Amino acid sequence: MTQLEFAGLAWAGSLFAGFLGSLAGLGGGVVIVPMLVLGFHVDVHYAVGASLISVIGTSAGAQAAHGREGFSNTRIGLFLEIATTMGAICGALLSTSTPTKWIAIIFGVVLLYSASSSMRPKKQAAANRSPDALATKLRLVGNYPDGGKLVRYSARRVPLGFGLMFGAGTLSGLLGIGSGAVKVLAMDEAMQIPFKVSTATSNFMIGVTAAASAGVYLSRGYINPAVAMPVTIGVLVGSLLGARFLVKARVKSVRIIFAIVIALLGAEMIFNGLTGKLS
Amino acid sequence: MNSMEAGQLSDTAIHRRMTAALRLLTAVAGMVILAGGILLLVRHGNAVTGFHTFTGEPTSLRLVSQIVVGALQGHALPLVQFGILLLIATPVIRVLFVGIGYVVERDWLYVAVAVIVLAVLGSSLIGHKL
Repeated sequence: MTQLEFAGLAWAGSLFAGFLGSLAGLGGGVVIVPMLVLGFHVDVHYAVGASLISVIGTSAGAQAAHGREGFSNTRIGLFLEIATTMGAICGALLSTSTPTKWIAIIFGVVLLYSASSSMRPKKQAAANRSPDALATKLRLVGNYPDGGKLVRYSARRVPLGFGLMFGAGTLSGLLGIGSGAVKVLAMDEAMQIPFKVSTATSNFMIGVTAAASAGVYLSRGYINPAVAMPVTIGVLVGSLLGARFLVKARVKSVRIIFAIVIALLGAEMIFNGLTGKLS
Repeated sequence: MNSMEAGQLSDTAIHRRMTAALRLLTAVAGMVILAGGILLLVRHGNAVTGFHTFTGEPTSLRLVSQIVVGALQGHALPLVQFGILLLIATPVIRVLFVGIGYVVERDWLYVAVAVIVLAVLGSSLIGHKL
C-alpha cells in the first residue's frame, strides 16, 4: 500500500467512525484501534497512539462546537482528573510491556462492556438526600435544572469513585480510548451523580486524561505521524459533522447499530487475540 | 450561597475567554497537522508503506525540542508531530485556565488540585525521554 492509499482509506474510515461515534454519543475512539489493527494491519502500539490523539481532537472539537459544557461540574471533573491522569500514565507505561495479544483481549472486553452499557437505560440518581461528609468537605456538590427547578446533588462514595477513575485512566492509557463508559460508571453508579451532570463532566475529562497518556506515547516514540495524521483529521471532521447532525435529530437506531458494531469488533479483537493472529 | 454565586460569575467570564482560546488552538493544531499531511503526501505519496511492525519513532519525532526544530525547517513528519503536540497542549491549557479561575476565586483547595493535575500532565511529556 502506498502512503497516499493508506492516508486516503484511513481518513475515510476515521471520518465515518467519528461521525457515527458522535451520533451514538460514544466517541469515535473505540472503533479506531480495531479498524487500524484488523483492517489495515497496523501494529497495536501505533494504532493506540493514533487513537489517543484522535480522542483529544474529538474532545477539543466537541467543546469548541458546543461552546459550553452544559451541566458539567468543574470541581468534580478536576478532582477526579488527579486519578484519571495518574492512571493514564500507568496504563501508557504498562502498554510497553503488555503483549499485543493481551491488549487485544482487554480491548475486546472493554468494547463488549461499552456496547452493553450504551444500551442500558439511564436511571436518575436519587436527589435531595443528606449530603456526604467527604464530598461536602471537597465541595463535590452542585445543582442542575430539572423540570424548571434546581435540584441539588452531592457526590457519594468518593474513594470508590476515585479508584474507579484511576482504572478508567489506566484503560485509556493502555488502549487509547476515552473510556467514557467507565467514567460514567464511576460517576453514575459509584458516586451517584445525576447522569446529566456525569455525562457532561466525563466529556470535559476525556481530553485531559488522553493528553496524559499521549505525552508518554509521544516521548516513547509510539506516535507515528503518518498513521496519526489521517486518523486525527478524519475523526475530527467526522465528529464535528456528527455534532451538527445531532442537533437536528437524535437517532436511537444509530445508537443500536453502533452498539452492535462495537460488540462485533470486540468479539473479533478477543478472537484474534486468543488465536495469536495479531502478534 | 453568596460566594457560590460569585464563583459561578467568574466561571462564566473566564469560561468565555477560555473557550475562544481553546477553539483557536484546536483549529491551528488541525491546520498544522493537515499542512504536514499534505506536504508528506506530495513528497512521499507514492512510497510504499506498512505499519505492521513496530519500530519506534526516532528522537527527531519524540523530543519536543527536536520536533520544533524539524517543523521550522519544513519537514513533513515533524510538522505533523508539532500539530499533534499543539493538540496535546489544548487540554493542558484548559486545566491551566480552570486553575487560574480558582486563584481568582481564592479557592486554594482547588488551586492545589489543578497544580497536581498539571504536574502529572507535565511529567508525562518530560519524564520519559528514553
